[in-house]
Amino acid sequence: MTLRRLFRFWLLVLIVLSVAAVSIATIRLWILMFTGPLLVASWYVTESHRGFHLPRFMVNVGALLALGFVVFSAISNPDIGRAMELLGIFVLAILVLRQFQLRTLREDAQQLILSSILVISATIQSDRFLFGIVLLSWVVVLIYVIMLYQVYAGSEKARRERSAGSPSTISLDSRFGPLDVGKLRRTALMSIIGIILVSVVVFLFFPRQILFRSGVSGGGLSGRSGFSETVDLVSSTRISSSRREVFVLRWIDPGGTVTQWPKPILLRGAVLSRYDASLGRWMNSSRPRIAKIETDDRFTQLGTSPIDEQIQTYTVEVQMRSLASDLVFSPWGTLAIATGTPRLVEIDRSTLLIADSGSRDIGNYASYSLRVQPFPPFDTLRSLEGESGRESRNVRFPIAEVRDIAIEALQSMDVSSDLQAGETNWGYNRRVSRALSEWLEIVFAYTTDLRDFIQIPGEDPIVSFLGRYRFGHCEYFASALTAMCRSLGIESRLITGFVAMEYDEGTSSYVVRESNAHAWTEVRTGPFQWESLDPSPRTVLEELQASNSSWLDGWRWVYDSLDFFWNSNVIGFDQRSQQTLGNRFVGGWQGNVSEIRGQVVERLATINRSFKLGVAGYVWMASIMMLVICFIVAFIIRNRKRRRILAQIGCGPLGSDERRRLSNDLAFWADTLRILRQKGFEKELSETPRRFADRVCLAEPSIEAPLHQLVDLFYHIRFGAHRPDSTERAQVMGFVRRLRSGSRSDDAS
Amino acid sequence: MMMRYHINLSGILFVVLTLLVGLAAAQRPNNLVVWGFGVLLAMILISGVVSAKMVRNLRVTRLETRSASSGSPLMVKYLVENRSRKRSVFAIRLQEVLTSRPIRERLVTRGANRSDGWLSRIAPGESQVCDAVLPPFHRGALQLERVRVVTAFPFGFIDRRVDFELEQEILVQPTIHPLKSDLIRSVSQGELGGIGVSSRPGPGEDFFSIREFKPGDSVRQVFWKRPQANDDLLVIQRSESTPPRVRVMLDLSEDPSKLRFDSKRNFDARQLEERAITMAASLCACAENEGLEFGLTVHGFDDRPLPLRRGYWHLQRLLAGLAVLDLTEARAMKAVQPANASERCAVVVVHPARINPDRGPSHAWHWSATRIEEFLDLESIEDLQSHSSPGPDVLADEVLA
Repeated sequence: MTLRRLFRFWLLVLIVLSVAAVSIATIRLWILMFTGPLLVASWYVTESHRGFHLPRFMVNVGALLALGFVVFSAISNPDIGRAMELLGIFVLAILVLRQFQLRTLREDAQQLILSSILVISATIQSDRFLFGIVLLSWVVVLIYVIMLYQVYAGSEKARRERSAGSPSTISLDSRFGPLDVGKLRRTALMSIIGIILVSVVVFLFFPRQILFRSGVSGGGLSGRSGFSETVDLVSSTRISSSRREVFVLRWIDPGGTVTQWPKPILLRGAVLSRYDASLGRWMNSSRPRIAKIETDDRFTQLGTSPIDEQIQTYTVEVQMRSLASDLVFSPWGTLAIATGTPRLVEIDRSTLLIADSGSRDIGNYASYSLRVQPFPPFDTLRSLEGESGRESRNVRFPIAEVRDIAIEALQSMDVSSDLQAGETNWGYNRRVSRALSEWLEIVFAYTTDLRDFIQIPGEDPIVSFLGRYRFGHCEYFASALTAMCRSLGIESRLITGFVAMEYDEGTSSYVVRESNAHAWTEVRTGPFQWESLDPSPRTVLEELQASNSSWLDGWRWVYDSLDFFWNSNVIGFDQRSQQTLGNRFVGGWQGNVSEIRGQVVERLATINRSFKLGVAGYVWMASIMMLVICFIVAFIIRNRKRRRILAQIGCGPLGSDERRRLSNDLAFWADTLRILRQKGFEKELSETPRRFADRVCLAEPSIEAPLHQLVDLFYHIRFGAHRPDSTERAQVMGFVRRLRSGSRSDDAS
Repeated sequence: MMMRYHINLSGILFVVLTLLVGLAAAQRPNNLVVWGFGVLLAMILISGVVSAKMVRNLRVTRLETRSASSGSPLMVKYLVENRSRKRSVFAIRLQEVLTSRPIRERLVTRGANRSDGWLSRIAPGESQVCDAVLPPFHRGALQLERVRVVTAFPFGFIDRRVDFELEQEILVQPTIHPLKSDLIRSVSQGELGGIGVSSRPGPGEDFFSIREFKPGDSVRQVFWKRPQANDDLLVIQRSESTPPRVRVMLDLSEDPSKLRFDSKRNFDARQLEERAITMAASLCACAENEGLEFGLTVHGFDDRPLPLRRGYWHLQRLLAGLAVLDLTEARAMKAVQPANASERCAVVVVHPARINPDRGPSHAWHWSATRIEEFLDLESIEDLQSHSSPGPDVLADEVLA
């Protein structure tokens, strides 16, 4: 393969990889399915013997059409978030079109740049494990392709210069054969290793502490788990339907038997109690009351009072699959927690949300266990939430229309919206909220396809959902219930997290996937009591879940475990991990040294005791150790000298016997060269010993005799298999001495 | 050896890109962007290290260039040696540094096309020869100073440059134009220039002498008439016939300021003298092509006349004599070489401007360099034009016009 074809081939590989990266980043497989074959076809169309190329004007027309499409898309849906996507489409179109045209050197370089733009735009959009693998492969191929380009472009330019400048002169010889390609690959490999090592160092020492004030690196959880810490009803047009396993969960009854809970298990991740009507967004407003608790593999209580074992207490075991997070997803009212490794856990007493605060290990937790009571007693809850966990006095919702809809809904359900005689506030809350939840579940349609859910300017999305469309996904259902409850003065909040509902009989565990990200409502039903209400129709949720399943789900754990490692150690690498790594390196280094020193001292003392020599034993051991050290040093020096001698002889690959013989018998030649070097005569690599000696003798006639004798002997030993005896060795040493004395006398003169 | 680096345009763009990605990494907590920033930084670092290590062990020697012709591209060869025992060297460009003033003054046209030397790869411990084509230079001794090795390998961001101080003098000979072949033959067919008999034995037709037979002598040469009484064989020796001879006399004795020429043509005195030198060189080259013996006499300088000889090396010697003529020197009438009366040859005196018959023997031909166009072989020039570079060959262009 010629250099040109080799470069073009690897350029094509690079472009295919960049397209794959975009396809993975945007989770649109059709991009790769459509453009991949086109790119492969371009190789056979343009690089065959009868290479066919698209005329330049057709490529330009195609590029203009792509530009028009992008501009039209941008005008019809002006969203800054789509900028990178549109840029990617435009670049992709040009990239593919140009593969079919006759390209110059400059256009080849432009293809490289376009491929880089494509990958950079994809990098901003994704941090998935598969994307990371493709990105790494792309970087490796990019380095090789750039090196090939340097050689290819350089030789082409030189050839053109030569033929343009002076056609009558000899044409340029710029061969680049398979051996050269092999050596270039080796150089590229070394460079790639170096670049990856340096980039890892930059990655580890990037000043996240200074730059990332949020304290979280890795782009948040929403981009990679389906879960979101806020709910945006205006721009939320799509929810994740990914089958990626987030974690698996086992529900263990008080008897220690793994079982299936009759209802879906709601695992909380975020509590949102404030609605911003101007943005259509739910946010967290409560002031956190953080308590830090150290945990290990035994259960540690989160509250202050002991767990009442008389009440049924269940254990939840969670094993992470792909999600690496600081949040500990847990059911409401978790009483105790145990983690696989010692960690520091934070509990927010205002919301009962649990989060991981770090440990001596790098990366996130991989598993944890929880103790849960489905109906915890009053004292237990009080000890969890603290005395200040009381109800809010002023509960309202900023949009008045919601209250009217809520009252209408209650009327349609034959439920009074007023406080009944003898009914407590908590009972009212429970009755009304359950009725509203049931109303939503019965009347409203659940769908994840919101293409027909068009936002009406000036109308709140909750009102649109309740009054106009009456379809949506879990975020709309939960938002509507929370809004209606709050509009009626019932303290409620929106919860986001995961719902565990896919039970695997084979492993007796729940599999929680990205598509299980969920939103529901919690309504206060006591001073410390909150009731979870999920207005989303459960049957529809289960049907959707079942319809998405495929035979690949059984094998996802292989990929997902790698994904967890990636998310935990790469994407989730933040300043806390940096700090841990630094502490481990510094503290660990000092600890290891002192540990090794202690072990050595102890071992020496044991040996000394066994010989019963007292203090003299240590003297003996020190002497033996000195001898061993001297021996090792002598061995190293001898080996280095041997290597130096062989390098100076330039004998190439030889058998070990021959190497030993030459290094022993030709040591004088190394001395000779060293002495002559001191005198200012450097032997050229291409120079034979004889010619070198002649050159030296012309300048220094005084050393002609000994030098020529040494050269003669060199040839005898090197090529004549001559073994010098002791007399000859002594003679040689004499010649070398004469050379040296000659140099000294010269220096003196 | 002096190593330097120069960040080229693509390098600047790459640094800007690195800064932008670094900015993005600082603004957006995305670890992949942080890693990408690390890769870009590492590429800059590795680029500098690899290119520096590559060129550090290079040794360049300029191979001896025997001669060059004025107005023609000059090809220079280099021996490049990679003294590293492990690392190959990739994608290196060798260029002669022509920026010093003395060299720039010798260039025929500044900014003319040149072709640098190029080597795709040199293996460890290997030596390779490559050539570079320099732009045309004016006649005279050209002092080359430095050779620059440039490489943008591995990523093309940094041009790593190493300059080797390699001083070498190259003699740029005058331009040789093909003359009409019948011109020199018609000159040499005259009384003194025709074929003659030399005073040496050789393979000619005329009798030279008789000598004793030696083993190896041809039977045809045996002198069978036996003038001697004994039985010794004798052989006839023939004389060597000499080719036609021509002596070119270049008259540069006139003070350039006093040269008289047609003011309508845009030539200055220096150009006229250069044309005369070119014409003398072309005459000698033409004589050599035609198999004539030729010699050169330069009036106005203290150089001794070059004897009549023939052959490639004689022509080279003669051209070298013309190459080193320094026209800025003062001329002296005493340096007018007297014609050798005993020398049997045709004489052509080349004058830079108006003809002065006193500058040669009475039988000499006197030609003016202003009329060189009349003597050129136009067909050959056209042929040359089609195969050579579009160099600034003013004379040939003028003729063809």
